[in-house]
Amino acid sequence: MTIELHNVKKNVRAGSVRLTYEDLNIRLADGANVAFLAHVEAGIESIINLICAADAPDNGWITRNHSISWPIPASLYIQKHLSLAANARFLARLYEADEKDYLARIAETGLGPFMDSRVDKVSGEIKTVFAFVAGVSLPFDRYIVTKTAVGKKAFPDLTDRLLNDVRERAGLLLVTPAAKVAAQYCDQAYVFDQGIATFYDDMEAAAEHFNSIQSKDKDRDAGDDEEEEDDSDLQNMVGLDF
Amino acid sequence: MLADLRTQLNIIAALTIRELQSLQKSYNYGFAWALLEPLMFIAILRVARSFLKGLTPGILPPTTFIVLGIIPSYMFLSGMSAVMKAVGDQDKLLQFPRVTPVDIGIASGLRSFCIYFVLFCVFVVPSSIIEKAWPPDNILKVLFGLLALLVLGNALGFIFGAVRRVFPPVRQFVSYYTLANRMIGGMLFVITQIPSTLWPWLTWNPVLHCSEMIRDGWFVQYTSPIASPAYVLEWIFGLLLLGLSLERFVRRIPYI
Repeated sequence: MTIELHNVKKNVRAGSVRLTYEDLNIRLADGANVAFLAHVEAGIESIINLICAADAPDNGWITRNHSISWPIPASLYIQKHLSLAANARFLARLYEADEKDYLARIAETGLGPFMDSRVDKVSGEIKTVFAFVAGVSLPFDRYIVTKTAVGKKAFPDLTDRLLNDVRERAGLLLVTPAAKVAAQYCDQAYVFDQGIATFYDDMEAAAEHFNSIQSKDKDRDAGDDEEEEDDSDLQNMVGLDF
Repeated sequence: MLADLRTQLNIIAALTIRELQSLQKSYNYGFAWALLEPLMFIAILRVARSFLKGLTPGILPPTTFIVLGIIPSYMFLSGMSAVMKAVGDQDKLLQFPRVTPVDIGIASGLRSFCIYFVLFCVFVVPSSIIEKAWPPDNILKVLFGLLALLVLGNALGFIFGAVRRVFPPVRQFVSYYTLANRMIGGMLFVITQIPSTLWPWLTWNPVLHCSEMIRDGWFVQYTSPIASPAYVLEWIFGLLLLGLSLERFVRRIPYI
């Protein structure tokens, strides 16, 4: 029960990002909690697209023999003119889940009062929380999570609780530019840089490697002194809300 | 195998329902607009009734004749362009690992079919009652013609969509094809109105066969000399095979 990329080649052409991954070999074992540590120029969106089968490799092959979520909390599938419940029903139909149970599970997280509201009438925070909860409430063998700081104002402990639950019952693939957050939830990591993915089963070593890349980047972009302290801006950084 | 098939059908059903729900967004006041637009079109047709009488064969009721030509033709063309767009563009729903471009294409085609099938029922039934062309002579023939147009449109959509992935200017060719098909697809005529010396230039077109089948099936007074279900099925088989093969082939090619 794994997802494996074998000798994959992928030309990444996303905005200003121009790089090529060659002989990319990644193995996501059943139940393993893995982090993809990547900064903005790493073209990680393309790799996630490959894992999700939204795109095909230029060369090589990918085997998937367990179920996998979409990048959570991507929200482009949400129809703004419908209620949260109607959007949830779409997911239930798509993943053949029992609609009543699924809606009840989402409502239990605190979203109950908003379920019948149109998406364009609720706050952006509620929408993102819904996208997160709707994803992790479906049964998958592996969950791809691209943002952990969701709804911290309205639901301070929610994402932490749900992520820990996901870690226990399935595998987690956390895509983040924050080594600290990765260490909190994952045991293994791939560090992506300049078309190379390096595997670590020691999170400290992974963090060290990743931080050294960030330091190099900072030196290179001397004018840019902004530092990402958590992963709250990940969606903008890697553009994963595709 | 059966479980896989059921899953596939559930995915297509979920996507089709979503496509139909998205209509509500296009029409700010809900589904009523979807009916109002063709109503206006029919009103224009009524104004041009005397002109239409000159175009239609004398023995056939003019409004029903025209509606039976226009709505199926739009059903075919709209299905084709919906599938072409779904297959040719990178849809955001592809982020769901279990959704493929084929699912999105089929769902778009079905949405288009649902809309035009409802319009067909809403306009053809009253007009044929008013013009005393009710009930249809052979409803199975009519349904076969409509379903054949659905599949033909979808199959062509797959072909054009796949080509569009590698050669976007094909859209221009599709607009010419659409125009040509309106002229030669039997939207405004039946084959008996055309001199028989020109038939070989027109009867290769499977869309014309479908239009003929629909009118043949609806009107007691009209029997098409050319409509051939077997010929249409051959086209459907060939185009579907080509369309699905091309779609599969271009999947590895990055979206432009």
